[in-house]
Amino acid sequence: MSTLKTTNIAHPSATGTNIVLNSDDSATFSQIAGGAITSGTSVASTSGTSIDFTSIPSWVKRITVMFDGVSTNGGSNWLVRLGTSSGVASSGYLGSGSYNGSANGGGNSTTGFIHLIGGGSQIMHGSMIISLINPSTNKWTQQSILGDSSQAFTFISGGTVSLSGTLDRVRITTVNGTDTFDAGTINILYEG
Amino acid sequence: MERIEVNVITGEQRTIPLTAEEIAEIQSRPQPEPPAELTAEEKLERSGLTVAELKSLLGLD
Repeated sequence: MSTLKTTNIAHPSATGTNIVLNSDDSATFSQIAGGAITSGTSVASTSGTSIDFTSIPSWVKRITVMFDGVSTNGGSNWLVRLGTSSGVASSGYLGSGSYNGSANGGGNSTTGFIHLIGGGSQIMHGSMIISLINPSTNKWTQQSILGDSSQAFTFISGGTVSLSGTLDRVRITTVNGTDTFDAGTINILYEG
Repeated sequence: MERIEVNVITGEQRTIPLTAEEIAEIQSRPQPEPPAELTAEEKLERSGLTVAELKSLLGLD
């Protein structure tokens, strides 16, 4: 049996090298399409009316959006929207969000996965998990729990949305679209 | 107004001013709906009181 000796392996259409074969018998993959969790780049959520994570690979089946001490300068409820290369979906969402603490409340949203911040100035910590439930219809589900470190409130949200194509972006924004992020960091994990 | 855009493959981060069309769309949005208020029955249920207990507490029985 002969051994093929080479160092780089690439798909003809790839812009880079898919696999690098190292001299110590190990291999380096540029990305593993499934089976591994990949971290995005942490972004300071200290400016902007929305924060987009783009170029999410087509093989991704689960995304975790992580919030670390995130706040905005207003009281508008928070939205997480999903999108394709054509843009971000702003309708067709089903689900609700609620807040629990010294007061309780809830509501539905069709314009995004919603976190009802209750009109206050929350400092949010926690994660939203977005999962592909039906690849043939590009339908995604989400579940989320965020805790507020400025007051004793917990925020819960769940929902679904069907996209017009393959997901490639996630947007974190507010219902009114004008409140600005002013603290914390946001990052995502994605996996196939 | 502007948005932050992060490419998860390259790690590139850009600050992009919103277009006039995007700003117009934002300005046309309805104000956020207030969270749903609980009904009197829901408030009573969450307090752990029954109607009979509340009546007794208020001296109405």
